[in-house]
Amino acid sequence: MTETVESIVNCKNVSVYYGQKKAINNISIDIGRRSITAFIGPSGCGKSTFLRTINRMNDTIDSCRIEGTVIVDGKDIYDPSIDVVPLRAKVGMVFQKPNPFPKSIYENVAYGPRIHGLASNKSELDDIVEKALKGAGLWNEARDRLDESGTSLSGGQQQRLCIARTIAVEPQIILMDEPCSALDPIATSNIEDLMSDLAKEYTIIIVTHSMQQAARVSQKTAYFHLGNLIEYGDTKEIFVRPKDSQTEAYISGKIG
Amino acid sequence: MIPATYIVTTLIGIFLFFLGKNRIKNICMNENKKPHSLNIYHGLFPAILSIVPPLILLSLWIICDDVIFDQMLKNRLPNNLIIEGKQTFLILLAAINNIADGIIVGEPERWMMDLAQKLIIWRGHSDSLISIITIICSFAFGLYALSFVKIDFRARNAVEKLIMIGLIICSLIAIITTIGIIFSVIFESIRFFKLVPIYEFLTGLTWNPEFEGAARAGSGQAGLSTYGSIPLFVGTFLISIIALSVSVPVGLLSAVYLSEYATKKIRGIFKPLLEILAGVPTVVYGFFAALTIAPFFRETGGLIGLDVASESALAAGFVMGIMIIPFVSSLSDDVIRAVPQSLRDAALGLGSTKSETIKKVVLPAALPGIVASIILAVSRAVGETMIVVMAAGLAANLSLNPLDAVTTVTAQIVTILVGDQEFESAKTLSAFALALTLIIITLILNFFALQIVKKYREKYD
Repeated sequence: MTETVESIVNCKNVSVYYGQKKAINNISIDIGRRSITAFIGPSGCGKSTFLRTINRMNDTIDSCRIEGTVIVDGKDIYDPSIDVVPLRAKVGMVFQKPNPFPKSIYENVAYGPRIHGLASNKSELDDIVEKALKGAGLWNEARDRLDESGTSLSGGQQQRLCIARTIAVEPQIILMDEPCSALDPIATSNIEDLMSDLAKEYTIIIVTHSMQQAARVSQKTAYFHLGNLIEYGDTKEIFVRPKDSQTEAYISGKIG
Repeated sequence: MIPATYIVTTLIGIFLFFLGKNRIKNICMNENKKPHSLNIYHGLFPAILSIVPPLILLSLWIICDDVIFDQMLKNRLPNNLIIEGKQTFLILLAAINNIADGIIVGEPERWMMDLAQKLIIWRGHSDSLISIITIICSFAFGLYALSFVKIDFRARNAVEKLIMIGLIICSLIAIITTIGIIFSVIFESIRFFKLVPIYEFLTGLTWNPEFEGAARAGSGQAGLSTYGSIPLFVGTFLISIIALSVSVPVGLLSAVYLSEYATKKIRGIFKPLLEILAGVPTVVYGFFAALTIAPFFRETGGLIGLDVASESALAAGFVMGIMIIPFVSSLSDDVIRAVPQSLRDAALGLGSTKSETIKKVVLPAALPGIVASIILAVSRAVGETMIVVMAAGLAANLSLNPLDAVTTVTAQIVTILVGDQEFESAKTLSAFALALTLIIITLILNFFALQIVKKYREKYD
């Protein structure tokens, strides 16, 4: 199972500070292309913070400071010459709580292609929207109600709408920050199936509280604790034969 | 005497509060059971009943007794007194009341002194009587309420019901007052429309209420004074548009800056400063407009060869716009900040620039609140009087040229009602017709604005 995959994200000695507080301590990690990587660990361990360094969402927090290099697709994204706008188009993000725009379903999906000028006319835009909704497994449910508000959907549908909105921009990487924590088990399993499909085309990095979820969907797992990367390796290895005693304690439910 | 009654009644209430509380405590101890409600409610129930209704009674009495005294005085006026008109009678009564209060002007006649003397005695009796009644009521209600206090009495529910009645009364006061205002305006307007045909008022192009006299009252011809309200409404419209075109862009953009770009520190300085603008009395804006802005516009206009009136709609509208900025910016700032951060994150995460996020996500989501702030601005602009009186003049010109002197509905109402006037004349009554029309127009505006908000509301949680 462990074939060497080409990596798309390379982090080297990354530390993140909130003001004086160090949230991420000197992490280096390489993440493989077209695979699912799970970040697990107890609350407050820095896994979400680390996820948000990959598309520079931490820029929105004033007190946040980053050291080290994060290379995405061969480019140092913290280089002063890098513009965050195309970076975030390339590295999409799905959030913990479904956050569709208070617009119609169609407009939600068309938002990204519009601001990036991906479609030159209406029918092209229609095609993009249809493709994205199909990609997110929402087309059958939403095709007849594209004009209805995105917020009128159920929680699981909203989250799939958010995924459709993200893939409409055709990113290379999709970051998912606990995408199922606000959803019921059926919606969760829908999203998990969807992730496996999406991994054929996209690189997915998912932060999750649920170890079962990490075990079900990911090829690689990274265990974080108190801002440190404790262990990173093939998911099967980590769950069956963790090398580190802390990882073992977390996975077996002793801490967390 | 009356203040003492208020205090005594309150003391009775406090006394009954402890009585009720102790009583339930004792009952509990004897029966060794838990009461339905907390002890405090068993105290509050008699306390409220012994304070509130008697004090309402007392207050009503104080308001009403003057009317009764006036009636009693009227019956005792000397028979040989000749009274002309309603006004004279009212003046006489006021004079007697003043003497009773100790304000004596000149040498009043003997019978007036006597009546004043009587009035003083009546007032004393009335005060004693109502004080006794109030205190008896207070005791009676309180003790009656106290008799309910038992182990299974639902005192909490009873107290909550009493409080709910209080809340209903408070909300009714606002509604009833509004209805009262509208009706008084309607009735006076009807009287006006008997004197001046409604179509003339609504469609006439000249507003000239002076020279009221024989012409209209006597011969019924259209005569010297004319009541065409169009120039006033056009003036109001013109000045409001100028004010809004200053305040809405400036207010909205400053709100965007404050909520999206400003650091915490800058916001902490700017927002209070902006809100100080809202606290400046409009008179101050008025002379700022009349003494600073209007001359400035006239001189600047003169330099480029424009003929600007020394009192211009532009000056008044501009200063009014400045006055309204804080309403728009402060309210819009609040609603923009209320847009959930998750929506901004979503937009940024898709690769939107900050400006795209604001324009396409944040502002549409905040739209209902922004429209509400603009509605508020409109009603401030339409209702604003002082600045117009001081800076735009009182000339009812029918003009859409912002450089002319114009006047507004509210400014005219003020000029009509300031000083002495007869209540029967068409000139005075026209103020009510203007007010009524203004109320109707603002109602229609608000209605449409609300419809727009409903239609474009984008819901978010």
